[in-house]
Amino acid sequence: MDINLALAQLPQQFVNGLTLGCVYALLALGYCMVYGVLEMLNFAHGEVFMVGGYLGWGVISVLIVGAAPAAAPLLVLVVMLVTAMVGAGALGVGIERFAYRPLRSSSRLAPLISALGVSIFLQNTVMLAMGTRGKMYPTRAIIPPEWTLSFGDVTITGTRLLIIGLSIILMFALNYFVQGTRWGRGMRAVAQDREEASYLGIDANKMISLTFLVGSVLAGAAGVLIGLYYTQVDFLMGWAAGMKAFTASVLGGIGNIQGAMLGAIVLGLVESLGAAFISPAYKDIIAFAVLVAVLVLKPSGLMGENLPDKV
Amino acid sequence: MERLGIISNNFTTLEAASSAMGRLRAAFDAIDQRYRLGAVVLLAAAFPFLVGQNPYLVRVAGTIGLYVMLAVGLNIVVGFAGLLDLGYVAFYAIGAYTYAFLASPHFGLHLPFLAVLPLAALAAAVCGVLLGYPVLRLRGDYLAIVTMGFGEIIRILLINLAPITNGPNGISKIDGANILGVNLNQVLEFGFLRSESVVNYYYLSLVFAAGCLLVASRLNRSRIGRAWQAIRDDETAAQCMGIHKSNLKLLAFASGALFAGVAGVIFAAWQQFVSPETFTLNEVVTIFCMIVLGGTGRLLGVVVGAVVLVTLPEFLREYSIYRMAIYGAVLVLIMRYRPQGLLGKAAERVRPVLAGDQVATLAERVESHCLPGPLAQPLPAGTPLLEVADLSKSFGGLKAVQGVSFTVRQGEIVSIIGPNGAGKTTLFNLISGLYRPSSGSIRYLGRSIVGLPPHRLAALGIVRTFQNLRLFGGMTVLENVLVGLHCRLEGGLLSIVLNTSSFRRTESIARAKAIALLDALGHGLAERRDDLVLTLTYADRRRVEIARALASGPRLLLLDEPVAGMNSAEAEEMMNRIGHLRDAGYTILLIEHHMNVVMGISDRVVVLDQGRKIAEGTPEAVQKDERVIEAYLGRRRSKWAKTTA
Repeated sequence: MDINLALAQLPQQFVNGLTLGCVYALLALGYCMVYGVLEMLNFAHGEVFMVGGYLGWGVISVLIVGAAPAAAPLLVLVVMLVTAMVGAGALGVGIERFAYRPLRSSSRLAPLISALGVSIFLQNTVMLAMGTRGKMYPTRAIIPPEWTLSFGDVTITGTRLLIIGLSIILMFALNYFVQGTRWGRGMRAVAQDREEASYLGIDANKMISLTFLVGSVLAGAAGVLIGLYYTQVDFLMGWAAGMKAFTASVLGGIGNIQGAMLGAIVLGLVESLGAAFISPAYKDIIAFAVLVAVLVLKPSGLMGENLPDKV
Repeated sequence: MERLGIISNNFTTLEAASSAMGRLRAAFDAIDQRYRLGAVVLLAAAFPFLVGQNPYLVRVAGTIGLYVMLAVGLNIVVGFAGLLDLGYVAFYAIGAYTYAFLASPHFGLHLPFLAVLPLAALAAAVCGVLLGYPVLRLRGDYLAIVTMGFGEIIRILLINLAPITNGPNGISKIDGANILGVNLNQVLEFGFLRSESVVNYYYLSLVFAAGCLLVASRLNRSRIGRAWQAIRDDETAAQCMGIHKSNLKLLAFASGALFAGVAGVIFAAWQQFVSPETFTLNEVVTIFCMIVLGGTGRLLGVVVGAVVLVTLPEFLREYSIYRMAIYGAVLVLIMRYRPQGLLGKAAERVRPVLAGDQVATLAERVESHCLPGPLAQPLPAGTPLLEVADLSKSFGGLKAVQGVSFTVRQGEIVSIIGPNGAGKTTLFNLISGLYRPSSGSIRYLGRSIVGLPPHRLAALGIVRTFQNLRLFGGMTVLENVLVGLHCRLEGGLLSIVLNTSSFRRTESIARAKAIALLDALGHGLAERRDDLVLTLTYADRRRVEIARALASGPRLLLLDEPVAGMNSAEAEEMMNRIGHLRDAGYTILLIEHHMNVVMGISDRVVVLDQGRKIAEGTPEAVQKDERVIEAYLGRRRSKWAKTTA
């Protein structure tokens, strides 16, 4: 490839990568928080994100007739996000209650399999209910194409602005919630030592539910955002995106919230730059290669702490 | 409401089924293992003819055989060694594609099945080591994600390297298996018996599945299997018992990969077609489910898991489109109501080698066959065994140990005492190789041992116990002690797999020795040898930990608070026991807070405070030392000054 052409593309690819990274980050936070509290991989998290995407589509199908929204576009957007976030939140809490909580005292693998079961179940139930073909998001009717910023060769569409902006707002909100409120303090206490926290009067079960709630709410929002970005949702999207997001949270140092955000942005950038400059077919290989390289050099991830083994 | 009724009905059915499963298992366990095995083998061998060579049923049964191979291999990695490998299917792909490359019109090569099989298995095993090496340091979920990445990379390469792999279309017209002139694709006739092609492949799959099970079960019962489980339960303790962690992890990766490679070859020869679609993450997930569903680590469970998960979607076929949703729900429900797996997680029962009353006679045999250990060559009393000079260790700004020097001589009991945070356990971690000193030297029998890994030190005869008891929780009492024998046992991979008579002899001597050790520690431990170690009382676990350390035949025994958590009678008994160990020729360095024990048995006492040695001498001298009293009770004058101020 011509090097000048490549360099000219760089800023645009950077924006693309950042957008993708933001969506991964919203999703990665859910993996990261659940891991922090329960030390388990919530394989069903990607499915929660997918259901969020479908809930957003449900709102569109009610509120948008033909090509024009029945209400103000902004209002439609807000209703979509709120519906998806509430629905996904409830789903996440329900999954934890039914499929994970009874298994808390058993081996590490049991909740993993249960999570896989939930994932397979949700994927296929959504497929049965909504059909095998994806559902279209009329993004243009909600975010007019005119809302685009241009800096020379770089264009940032309204959708991308929305994704980046909303993700940053949500991440700041989460950070405040975890660091600055008594709920967040309770969650951190349970993550550090569940038993000790419950001696101190913290209801560990409630905090675990809360963790799933917060993570799933973010996943619901991410589902709508990705629907707007790709202008469609399908029942398989949760698995692939979930794996990417999980990779991102490991890259950043699993269990570390800022690490998950950083890991997701890095992964998004690596993927889109790799796709542009090497080959789209190998973008996943490049993403995983970066992950392996980081972990081999720093086994606890970008921001993870190397704790000495306690003897 | 009606639907709710159906759902709750399903719950009760499931619970009933699981309790029926429990009863079935009890009945099953009651039958002698040999008859059980014989019956299963007979049934499996007769199966195609019992169903009248029904091609559909035979194909499903053959598929079960393939999955048994895969699941047994993954079980070595996940169940035995505890390594979460989500890229396992890549080795299956490597096996299958190796056969496809070497025995198809694709490259015009048509090597015979029996020539490709070892090549493909080797290729998969080598890839297992190549994947394993860089990820050795990673733990648990990090390992899971990196291996998953590896699996995806292989799949994407298969899709995109079209000139070599023919891309997403895969490779077709692969040669069928032709074994020593017998073409399995043809109908074979044995007298009045006619065997269709699908039946031939069923037998191929059955033979290899049985072979994999046999090899895995032999590995599981050998020193290698025990070492894997020890690593799974507690890596650090395993290393300190003389287990070479990295090598054994690589061996687990390689063995698992090898099984998958073999399965891949059989798959390719049977289907005569391979494509990247077969080797997805979903496939790994299915194999994982088989292992967990049956009961992790249990080979019989793996077979049950494979049978259930291959046949379940077939039973659900009539619900066609709903079947995957039901499959997912069933997984959740099984985990919810039987999280330990359908067969439970009971330790695989090993036929008792010895009855209780045979212990004494065997103890004599142990004397004559004594496994070589450092104690075999006695040293004159008073020889300097361990010389620590000017040893320091800092963690960031914290100086945990500063310039400590002392010597331990053959036949001594030396105690290290000091207030909490004095650096006692750090000192032990330095001597046993878990930490590298910041400066200073540690010499053992005149040789520097700085930088040697814990497993090397155990082999040289330095072995330790832990303050917070680090037994292998998933193993029985006897197995824990046998892990201690690891570095004294010979027996390579080949002798284990072939179950040679010399391997069987060492194994039975090892068992006898372990039982004799347990017997020597009393408290009925020898009788309780097949109980899981976690069912023992705290004091008994301390005793087992000491038995485990003694099993490795050490010269120098490092005991970290051996009587912590014991009542005074138990502590006194332990104190006498430690005295007997010295009389038997062991040299002992111990950390202890229990002053009666320390003062009662020690030849010398080293006192640490804030990382420095503040006194050393006989118990009497140390007790009178001003600085020791000050370290424990505080300075009299300053205390006085505080209260008057």
